[in-house]
Amino acid sequence: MLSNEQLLRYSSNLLMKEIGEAGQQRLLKSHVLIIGLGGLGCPASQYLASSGVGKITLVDHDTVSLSNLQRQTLYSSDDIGLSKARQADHSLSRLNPDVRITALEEKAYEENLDALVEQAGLVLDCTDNRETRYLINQSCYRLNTPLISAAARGFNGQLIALNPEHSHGCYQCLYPDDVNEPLNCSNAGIAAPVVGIMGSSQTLQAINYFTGHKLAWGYLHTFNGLSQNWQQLYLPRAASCPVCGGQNAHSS
Amino acid sequence: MRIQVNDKHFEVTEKTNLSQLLSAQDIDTSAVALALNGQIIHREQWQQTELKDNDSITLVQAVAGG
Repeated sequence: MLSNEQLLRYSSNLLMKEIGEAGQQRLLKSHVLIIGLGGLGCPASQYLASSGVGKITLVDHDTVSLSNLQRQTLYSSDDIGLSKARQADHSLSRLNPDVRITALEEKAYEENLDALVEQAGLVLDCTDNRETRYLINQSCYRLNTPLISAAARGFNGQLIALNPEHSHGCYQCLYPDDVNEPLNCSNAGIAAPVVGIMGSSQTLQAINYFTGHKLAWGYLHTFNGLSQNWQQLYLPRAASCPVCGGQNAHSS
Repeated sequence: MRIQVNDKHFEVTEKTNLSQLLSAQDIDTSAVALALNGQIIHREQWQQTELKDNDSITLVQAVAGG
């Protein structure tokens, strides 16, 4: 049962038949792991918390710097030098005390990822580097946990929802190890609203997933912030993929 | 036959596979995913994928920032 305060807090969700009271109850029982609290993780976690996703685990080892404030909307000028995980925890707990937040000031790496992924119903990859993205993908496939991965650079954004139980490809199939990315946010720049749109889209997919709507699993969504065009490209499984292909492949 | 690569159109006269087209047009593929008519084609299949008239190729730059 929702409390009187919850009926008001979530009234905009409750008014929609696509969410409603049953959907809100599901959101309140859900647990999302967010890895990375930068330009993607800020809007993603804000909308998850404000929408009433009951449990959120935040992972980031970094501290707030002045150049982050152009796009990382959870932090203020007073937070410079402070832990992103801790500041995000403060900010989100004030936003919605219903949400149980676990903030971890650590880097996601091989040794801690499985334990983190295991507890969550869904993982949002909001990181800023390929190495961690590969590790998150591996962990989600090992533990059979759905993953919504987004990335942005310049005016371009990308998003893909991966479900290890489905037959589409994984992040490793999309960008095999030998594909080297020459540029990142620090040396190529990033349009703040573009990364905001991508982070918000991750949360929209998360809400749709928990409330029982069908996701376009295995489709790479690309967004161009100049033309405002979205494109959908289907990602089949690579037969040779060491993560999801061959003998590691799941059914369907 | 007419082949589209992102926003550009190419006229190709001979039988061509994906690899041949990309090298003939001097397209840098070092950090891209490639889709043919909306479906991503893995690198190891480029050589054996023959192109048809009106095929549409999308090249997507790898992006990892956030």
